[in-house]
Amino acid sequence: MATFVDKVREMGPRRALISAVDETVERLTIGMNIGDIRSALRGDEPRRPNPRLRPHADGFWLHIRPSFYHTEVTHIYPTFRMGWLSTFMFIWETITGIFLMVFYTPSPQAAYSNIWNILSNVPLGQLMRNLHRFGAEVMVLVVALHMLRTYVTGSYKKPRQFTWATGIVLLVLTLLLSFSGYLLPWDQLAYWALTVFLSGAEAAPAPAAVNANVLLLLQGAPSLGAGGLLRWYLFHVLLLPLLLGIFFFVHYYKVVLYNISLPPGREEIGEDTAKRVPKSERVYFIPDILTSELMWTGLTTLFLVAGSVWFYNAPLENQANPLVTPLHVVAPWYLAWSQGWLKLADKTIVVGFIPVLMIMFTLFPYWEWETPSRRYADRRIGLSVAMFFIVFMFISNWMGSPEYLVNSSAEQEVTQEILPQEGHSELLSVPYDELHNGVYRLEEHDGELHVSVELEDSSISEEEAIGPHLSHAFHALEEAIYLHSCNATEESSFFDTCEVTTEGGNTTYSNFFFKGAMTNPVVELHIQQYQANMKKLSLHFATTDPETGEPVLEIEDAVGTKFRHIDSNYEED
Amino acid sequence: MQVKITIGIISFMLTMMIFSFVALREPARLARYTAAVTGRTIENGGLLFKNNCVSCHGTYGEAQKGCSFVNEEGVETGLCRGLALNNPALLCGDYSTRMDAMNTALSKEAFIRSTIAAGRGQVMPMWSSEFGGPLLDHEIDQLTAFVLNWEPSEAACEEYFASLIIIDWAVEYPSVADLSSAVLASSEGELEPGDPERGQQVFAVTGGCQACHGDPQGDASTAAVGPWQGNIAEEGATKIEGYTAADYLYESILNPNAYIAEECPTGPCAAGVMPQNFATALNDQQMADLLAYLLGDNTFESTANIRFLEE
Repeated sequence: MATFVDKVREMGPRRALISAVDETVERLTIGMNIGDIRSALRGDEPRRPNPRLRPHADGFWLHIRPSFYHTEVTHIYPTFRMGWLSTFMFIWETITGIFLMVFYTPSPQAAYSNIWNILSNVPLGQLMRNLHRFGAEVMVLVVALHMLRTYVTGSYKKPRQFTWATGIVLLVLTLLLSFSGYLLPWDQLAYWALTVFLSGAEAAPAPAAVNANVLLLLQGAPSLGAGGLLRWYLFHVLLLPLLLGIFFFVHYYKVVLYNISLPPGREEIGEDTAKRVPKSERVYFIPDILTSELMWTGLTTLFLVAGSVWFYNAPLENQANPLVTPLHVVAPWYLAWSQGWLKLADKTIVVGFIPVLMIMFTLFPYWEWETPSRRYADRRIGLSVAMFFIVFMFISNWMGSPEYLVNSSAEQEVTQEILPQEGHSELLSVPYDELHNGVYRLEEHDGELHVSVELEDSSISEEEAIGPHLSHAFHALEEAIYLHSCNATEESSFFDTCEVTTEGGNTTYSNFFFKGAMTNPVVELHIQQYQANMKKLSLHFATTDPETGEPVLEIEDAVGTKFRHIDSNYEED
Repeated sequence: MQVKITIGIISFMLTMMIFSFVALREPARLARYTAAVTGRTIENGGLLFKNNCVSCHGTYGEAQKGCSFVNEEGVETGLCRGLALNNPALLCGDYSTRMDAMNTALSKEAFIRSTIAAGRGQVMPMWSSEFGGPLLDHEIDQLTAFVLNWEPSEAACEEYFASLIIIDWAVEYPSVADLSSAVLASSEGELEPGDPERGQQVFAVTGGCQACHGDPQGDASTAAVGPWQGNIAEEGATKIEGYTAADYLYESILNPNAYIAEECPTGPCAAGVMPQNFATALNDQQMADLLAYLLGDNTFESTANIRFLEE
């Protein structure tokens, strides 16, 4: 073979250099030189033999991608690009995750302050954390929608049963990945969500000794602490991504093997023609699909970045404290359904049912009575069951929220809305300057709830006292009071009339929304200068027993108290 | 395909623009979040203080002066003996008066932190879970930040320091007789005759005596570390031959190790437990007030000639 020097002698330095670059490009792309790339970008017909197929045959990266698709599957319908998007999200999470990993130590002493360090000391740290967390939520959604799409178009049917089965494994792994990341900030949200999850693992329908040892494996110690955090960190960054990677390649290989199924109406029942694509209906990966995927990469990145900058902020509560249980412990939204089930049924039954459900999901494509038809009209029962299941999951998710079957008192619920133990509220995010010291009293007059203000500083008028943000907060407070109160008097009222039930000598007053509501309450918000740069906010309630007229709640006692430091910056959270 | 390439390029450029938009604002945002970390730490400390500390140290850290715990039936169950925290004595200066009184070598933050974590005497409990208390490390940090946030203004500190009359006791200190009202009333000095009410303040708050010696107006069980002082007017005269109660009390404050009392609430008393810097921590006026409060009389009888520091 001629050396570069020989070539320079033969054709001069300029042409020799061009030829060397061309050769290098051809090696890197495994078969496509600069001319081939340009012709592909122009949309020309490929030369013979087609160099655009060689990266699929000989290259590593493209050997798990089909070299061409049926034109019918390259539009938005029938795939909605959910599979590609799932892969994109996995890569996205890996990249942002590695960035965060650099600034994180999995220990209870360090983890929480590490997160604050990322937020307050690492350039673009908050953005990266938001990108990672927002990406995680999007990924769960996308993977679930991918499964739904596959079910609806019947793509799980023969010969793709195994692709479906690996897909279910990937769904479960995605949920576990997202959930295992939940613990890592080591805040109250994380700690108690995982505690609930682990208490579920403890209730599995297995011998107590097995459960105890599974629990020990999952948290590394009799209680959740340093060992548990380290293990869940390793699940999150090592074990689960590794497993997901393995199943991902199997899943992708099956797509190369069977290609993407055509829209159900396009082929005869029982036939699978995805691999037998006539030349005229082929869309080649290079350049069309590749270009399309690069475009979607750009658009999705734009969506995720814009979303993380303007619309999404990853939550961070107070540092985990095993001695303090927050009022409402909620699972992340994608697991809230299980919390809903736990409120209704026995723990052991629920925990035992979930794996059964998963196995059913994995194996049902293999069942004999399945109709081979993928057409919608032939699958009315199957599609109806799916619709019912989706509705059922939405209802279960709602049942998982604190709105359903919570046991705390009405005044605690109102306080939780306005001065929550953890997280944010309309009142906390009122800018410090807008909080004027004084007493704000909410009282009912003539069927409406009025705010009267008694300020310490008499130079501020009542209109000035309630600025735009505070006014927003009062609307939230009024709504919360309305939802948790009822009218026990004869006169018409702002509040709905009480439904009175007597059980075992105890009289309970309820409205449509809440059992055990307050009767015609008067509510006061006290804002007080507590330290030079910190105000104290407290919520006070006054109610009387409608039968005896004796006070139930007294205005002197604060039900909830929060402090607001001048710098605490809740506005931006 | 050209359309797709264009869309892809435009969205990539928009993404880069958003990145630069964020990057340009990043230094200011980082500063706001750095301040927020401190702010939220203090807020959480405030909640911890409200839930754990106010019954002794007062809602505003002003200390509960001679208050008592009363149960629902109105029966007294104990006494509040917390020191004032929202107080220049603790907070003014890098090395504050209170730290001087405790003779600590720690920084102010470490002093407060270690006091909360490990307690002090038998009155302030150990709060850190490390010592069996209910609070975790980060909560102790939050409380410390909260207490330090009571930082008085510079003017208030200057006023406080001006009010301290610092006397070099080693060179010049009055005898008990010099502090007696009989002498002070007739002299034209700056001092007023001892006032029991001000003396109570010195005992309970400024000097911090009550934390160990209990409430002289209560009963003997209020004393936690040192001997109860409610009966010192009678008891003091019996301790050392030739000493009046005033002589004994005065010497014991200035030089606690000169005579070790036998009975302390925790068993036999030991030398070196009581701080030995009250000679510098208290001024003449405070001493006269303190003696007047404990002896119930501001005419001090003296028979001994106390010269402890020259020994």
